[in-house]
Parts: sequence; structure tokens; C-alpha cells
Amino acid sequence: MGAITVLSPVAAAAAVGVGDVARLDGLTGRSVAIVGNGWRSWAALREPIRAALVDEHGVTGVELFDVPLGEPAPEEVLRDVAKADAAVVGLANCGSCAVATARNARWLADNGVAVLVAATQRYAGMVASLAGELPLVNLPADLEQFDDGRLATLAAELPRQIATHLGGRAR
Amino acid sequence: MSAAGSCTRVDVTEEDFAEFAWREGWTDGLPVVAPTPARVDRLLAEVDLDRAHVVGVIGPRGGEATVERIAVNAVLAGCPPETFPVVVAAAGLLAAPAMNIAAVQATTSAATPAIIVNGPIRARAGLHGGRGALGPGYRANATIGRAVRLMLLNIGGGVPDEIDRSSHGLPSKFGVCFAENEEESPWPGLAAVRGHPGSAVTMTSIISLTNVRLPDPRPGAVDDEIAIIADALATRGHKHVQSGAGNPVLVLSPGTAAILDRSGFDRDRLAEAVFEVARRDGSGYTDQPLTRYRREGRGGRVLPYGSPDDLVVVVAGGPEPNQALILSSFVDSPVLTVPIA
Repeated sequence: MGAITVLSPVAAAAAVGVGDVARLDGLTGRSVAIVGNGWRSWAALREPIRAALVDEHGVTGVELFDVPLGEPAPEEVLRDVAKADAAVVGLANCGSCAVATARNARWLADNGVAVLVAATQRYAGMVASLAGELPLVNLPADLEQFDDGRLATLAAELPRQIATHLGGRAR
Repeated sequence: MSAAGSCTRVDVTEEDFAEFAWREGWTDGLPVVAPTPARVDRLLAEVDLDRAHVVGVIGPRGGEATVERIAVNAVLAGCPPETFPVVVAAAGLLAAPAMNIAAVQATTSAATPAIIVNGPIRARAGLHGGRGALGPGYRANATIGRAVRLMLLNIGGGVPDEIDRSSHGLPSKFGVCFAENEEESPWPGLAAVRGHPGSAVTMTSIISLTNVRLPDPRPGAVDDEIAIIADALATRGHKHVQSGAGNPVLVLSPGTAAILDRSGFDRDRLAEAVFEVARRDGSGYTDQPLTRYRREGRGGRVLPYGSPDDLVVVVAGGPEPNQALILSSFVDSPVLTVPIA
């Protein structure tokens, strides 16, 4: 048998993450949106994160947004999120929600928002492959099994990480 | 020699092609047919579309489904040329934003598109709607379903364990495509009732298939059959039950449909009867962050999905009067029907 020519069935990926991602020079006086999609753990973490960002990092306002788990958020919701200076977008903790989280985060980054993605370890790489070079906070793979005590411990650590990723400095 | 198209050309030794395709990640794990320019051209001749025309982009990769690239994947899958119009229509549905195919591809559950074909194209393409329509042995059914899987892989980027995060996978991910058995159905075709009386493709995303054995129904005495179908649809493990949404598919054998018809049930009345019986006492159904049962008012019965209209009833399979199949719904993906040009 000789050589044959075949056509490749593979399509190139659509370009993502080609632009610079906005980064703040501090969180003082800034507004932050925290986007959640129904995961119990992330819902429990958002309130203490909100309090710490205001009390310890000088954020003027934190607004919480709820978006669908398995599909990209409606654009009108993302436009509201984009009114904030920065957004923490979660939670990538399953296949379909990792895709949706990546899409939401990329949309916000492309619209000038300083974005940080919250992803559990199994899905962090997937988000990176889909959303391009976005800052990402990597959470434990078993986050959803955390009891209240472990969530409280994590909640005490996360605001500093978030502030650092977004470009802020603890006061 | 074909004109320049959208696909990269690769020279490979013919005897090495199967290994080459596997190494390149072009396959679903089974051997594929070499997509030579001549084979691709034979498929392209079946549609009146430019080979560079972009039918859509398939997520999450966002790869362009050009007509040529669709044909390449169809050749890989083993599609006979006459099936190609169905494959092109299916590609358009994969690319429809409403189909939310990126989530279908990535979900930790096990979702995959299911394709139902109606109209005259069934005969021309060699599609089968009779006995074993969802099983092996029917070339058009098998290869069209497989072409969809290969497009999801090669154009949409649904690489297993990278983007495809399904915990268990699903045999149906190799492909689900069948014709409605319009000739033996007592009711108008599925696509016709959805507004497309000619050749058409209907797609929805499913996450499991359950055979439902019915106790040899008799005309006029089908309460047990409806209750059994309702029980199978209302199982709490189904995502459509856990969210009170989605579009489960009920596939009835022609014999079952005929007895239901002789008992006074058309599609709509059957869907209403099944929905009524499938409602469950809501006590013991506890909402969780990702499980939100839909209830008839506060504390009311739990609904199996949103409304009777959400159940897709289709007739396919052998003539036996005691067989049905339920394809449970992925939920985050609708039912779409498009005509075949």
C-alpha cells in the first residue's frame, strides 16, 4: 500500500484570551461582584468574603450575583456584573459549570473587568484552556464536602488571596 | 483533485492510517475510514453548499464547522454519501447556541445529543426506524450518530478527560440516531407536529436510556401501561425530575402506539395522562443547592418535568405492543427541529 492524502477533521480553536486582562492597582474604593452558580460551598463562602473585602481591603461595595449552573449567564446579567470594577466568578466545580464559568469570566474580562475565576482543582486546567490567561484561585477538589468549620477556615484565607490576585493590597 | 478547502491535508501511508488517526486523536476509539479528497468530494456532491461555507461553530472549542470539515468527519465515521444532508443538518443543530452544546460536551453527567429523523430523507439516506432502530446493524443510523460524535470531538473539542468530564461516559456517546417509524405509527410524525412536515432532523440531549417493559396492553385497558411509563419517567435519579424541567423522550414501539391510539390516546392526550400519573407526593423530596424539585404550589406534588408538552413522544422500533424506551433529559439543552434542505 502506498501513500495517501487525507484531510484533517480537526478545527482550530476560536481565539480566546488575546487581550490584556484588567488588573487593579488596589481594592480601596473599588466595587467587587461575586458571581455564584448554586454550589453550596461557594454560596457559603461568599458572605464572609464580602465582609472581609469591605472590612479589611477597603472595598466600597460587594454585590452578589447568581447565575445558571450549566449554561452561560444571560448577557444582561453579565452587563450588571460588569458595572463593578472587579469580579470573582465561580464556581468551576463540574464539567458543564466549568465551561459556563469560563465563558462568563472571559466575557467580563473582554469587557474590561478585572476578573478572578474560582475553580476547584479538577477543573482549574479546563477553565484555563477555555478562558485563556485569567487569574484563578485554585480551591480544594473536595470543597463541596467541607463542613462549616473547614469552610470558615477557608473563608478566613480567601479574601487575602482574592485581593492579591485582583491587584489589591491588604490595609 | 479537489479545490482548496478549509481542512489541512496530510500525507500518510495507507496501511498506517488507522494508527495515525488514533495517535492524532481523530477517533472515538474505533477504526475510521480515511478521509481522502475523493471520498470527501462524494459527500459534498450531495448538498448544494460551498465547501468553505461555515454552518456554525461548535463549542466549547468554538471550531468552525465548514461543510468540508463536516464531510471529513462524516467520511471518518463511515457515512454513505446519501446520509450527508442529515449530517449537515445535525451539525447546524450542534452549533445552535440554544443547544448549549459546550455544556453537553463537558458535563460530569453523561450527556449526548440524540437525533430523530423524519420525512422522505429517511428512505434516501437508508435510515431505519423499525426493529432495533437504536441498536447496531443499520449503517445510516450508526454512521450519522458516529459522525455527530466525531464532530463534537474534532470540531467542538470534546476530548475525553480533558473537556469531556463525564464521570462514567455513556455507550450512547458513540452515537444515537434513528428514524421515526412513520409508516407504522398511528400519529403524525414528530417533526410534522413540530412544524416541519417534510424531511427534518430533531435533536435533544439525553443522559440515559431505559427500556420499559409493558404488560401486554389491551385496547381500552392501558392504565397499567401509562402508570409504568410514568414511573419510569418519574424516577428521582433523572435530572429532569430533580429540576422539574427538560425534555425526556418516550420512544414507543409501533405496536404500543397502536394500542394506545385504539384506546383513545393521541400524542397530546398520552402526554397529559403520563404527566398526571407521574406527579409524586412531595414529602421526602428535599431540595438541595443543585436539586430543585418543581412542585404544584407550596408543598404540592413533585412534577416529573415542566409540563405535558415537554415530553417528546416518538414511534420507533419493532411491532411488539409491550415495549417502550425512555431517554432521560440533560435538561440544560432544548429540543430543536430543523428541516433538511
